Amino acid sequence: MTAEDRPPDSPLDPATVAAFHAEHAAELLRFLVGVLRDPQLAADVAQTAFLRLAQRGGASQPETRKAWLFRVAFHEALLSRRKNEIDQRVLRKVAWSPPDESPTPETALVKAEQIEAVRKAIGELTPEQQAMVRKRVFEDRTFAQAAQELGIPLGTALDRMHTALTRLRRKLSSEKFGEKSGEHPPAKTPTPRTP
Amino acid sequence: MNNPSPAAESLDFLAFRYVVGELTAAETTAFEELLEADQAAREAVAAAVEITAAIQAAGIQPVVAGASVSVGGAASASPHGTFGPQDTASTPSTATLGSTANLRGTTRRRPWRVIVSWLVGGSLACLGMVALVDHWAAQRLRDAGGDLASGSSGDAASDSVPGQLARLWSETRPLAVGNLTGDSDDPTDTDGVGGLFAAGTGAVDGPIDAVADAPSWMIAAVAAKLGAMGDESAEASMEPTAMPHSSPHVVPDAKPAAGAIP
Repeated sequence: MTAEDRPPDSPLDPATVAAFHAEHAAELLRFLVGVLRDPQLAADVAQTAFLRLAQRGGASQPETRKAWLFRVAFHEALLSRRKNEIDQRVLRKVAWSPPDESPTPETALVKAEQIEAVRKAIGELTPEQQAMVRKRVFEDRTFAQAAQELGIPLGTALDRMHTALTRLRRKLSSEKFGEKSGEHPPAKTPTPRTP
Repeated sequence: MNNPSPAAESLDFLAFRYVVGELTAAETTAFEELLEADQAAREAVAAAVEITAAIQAAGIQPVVAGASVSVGGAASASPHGTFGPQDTASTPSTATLGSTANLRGTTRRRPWRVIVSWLVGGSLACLGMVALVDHWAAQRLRDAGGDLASGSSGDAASDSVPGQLARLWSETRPLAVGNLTGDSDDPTDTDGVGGLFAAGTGAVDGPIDAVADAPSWMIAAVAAKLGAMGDESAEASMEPTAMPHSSPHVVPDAKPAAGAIP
């Protein structure tokens, strides 16, 4: 029985789900954090997405299964964000709640070796690029504010940030895949267009 | 962002701007439509989150030995300082991805460090307390020893704490022995009498002093009584049916103390 022959809601075997989780859970969580800007909510949505994969992922093709999972997670994230916005509006009317100090899933977003790799890569940036990274990422300035404070045009600020990010990402990829040259990051996985 | 440069149009940078919240509403809607259809865009968002979190962590977490603390030689050239733990003070307590994202875990101080610091501090405080108490107790003993030494012979041997204890023991021991040998009111208790007679054997030293200190009339009375008891027991052994009135001064039911006569 091939995947095409299976009904749309056929479950996926648990071993495949577990292997998929081990391989893609961290990246899926990062993607959801980028969409939701809330690590706790992102973790909940990731769990829901993997539950959907276990329940209905049997019909997906193995080569497009990752894209299927991310798309399902994206839909769940949008639903959750809308629901969360409504809930937040209601909550703001009811009471103010202090921030949660318990450990959060975002600690899994980066690993110690990645931090070290990025730290080294930051040291290899030009001073102008470092200043731009500092302004945007550390000091939480907008690009326009950073450009104004640094006395440069907005396009220049964007260009510096783009170059810095490219170099940092390249360094991060080379560390992740054990490459020492760091010049050519590994090619990305095929990007199937999900229906 | 109305005037992005051509370089900023790449998917990765678009994803970064989306993550940090620097897309306009229209751009956000368009990008989310792209996210709906394009897996590369989704992976770009994940990569943007990863790199942003790593940059924030690299500037906040402590530098591991061997890693560069600052941004290389550019640190001094940069008017904006260096990357590293020293940036924590100038960084907002809650790091953000853009204006709304929250990455609390990458910026919050690790709880185990707090626990370890409390444990170390508590241990040092306990050690300090123990040292203080020990010093105080030794000082008290020295003071007490000084008082005793000032009231006694004051020789060098008695200045030490063991010497003072030994001297105190030797001073109080005769009193304790005297209590044992003379203060018993129990008529069945023969230890006192036995102790007196044991003194004659030289088995112990304490009763010798007690006998020496006892008045002569007491010794004579006790000896006479014991002598009478010895005669009665001798008569009883010769005449088992002897009348109890043969010795009117002896209590009829009085029994000789076992082992009292050597």
